Amino acid sequence: MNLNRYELVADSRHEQFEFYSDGDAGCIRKVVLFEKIAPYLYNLSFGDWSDVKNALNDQCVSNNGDRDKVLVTVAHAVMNFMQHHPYAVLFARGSTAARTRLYQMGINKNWDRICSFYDVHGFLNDKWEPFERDKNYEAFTLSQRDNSVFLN
Amino acid sequence: MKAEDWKVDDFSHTIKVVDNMPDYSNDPHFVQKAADARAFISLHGLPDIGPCKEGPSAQV
Repeated sequence: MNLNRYELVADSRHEQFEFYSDGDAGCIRKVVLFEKIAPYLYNLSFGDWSDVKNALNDQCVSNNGDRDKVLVTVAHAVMNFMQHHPYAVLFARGSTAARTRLYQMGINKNWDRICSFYDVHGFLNDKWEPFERDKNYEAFTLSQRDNSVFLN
Repeated sequence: MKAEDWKVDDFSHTIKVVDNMPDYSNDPHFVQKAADARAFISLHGLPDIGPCKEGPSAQV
């Protein structure tokens, strides 16, 4: 088992993923959702699932002491989703500025590997541009760098 | 945790697939998130992702 991430469970479409964050605040169910919002275009959302409210909260801060491990797990969910949806363009924008920065941290920390496989763009100052690690973007897109291998 | 520990070291691992996962896309938070994404893209468009791509349609 890879101790640097949590074990993921996916639905049969590989568009929904669950994992359990196990940390200081207890065991929290996390949900990662890739929702199709237009042909080939998917929105990334994730957050904590409350069994009490039977609802998701993507704005809460869990303070479970495992942020890095959670981010790596979400990154794995993204990779798995993209393997099953090679033509997809993934759009991500946090529900808060802090959450958007969290997305950016996840991209930054895994950039060497991500840039080998994916084109990443960031939205800044009213325009999209190729992602640069030292900029704080409002939103991101990610798509397969070269999907020609999937055409055969 | 060291920076090295962040690395996504293996993209090809298998993930358990289940048939009984709830449909989270109906959750109000996710519905709102999708609506927000559509509104953002309608306003700002999408980046040019290159000629080799199919789609996506900009019609959101």
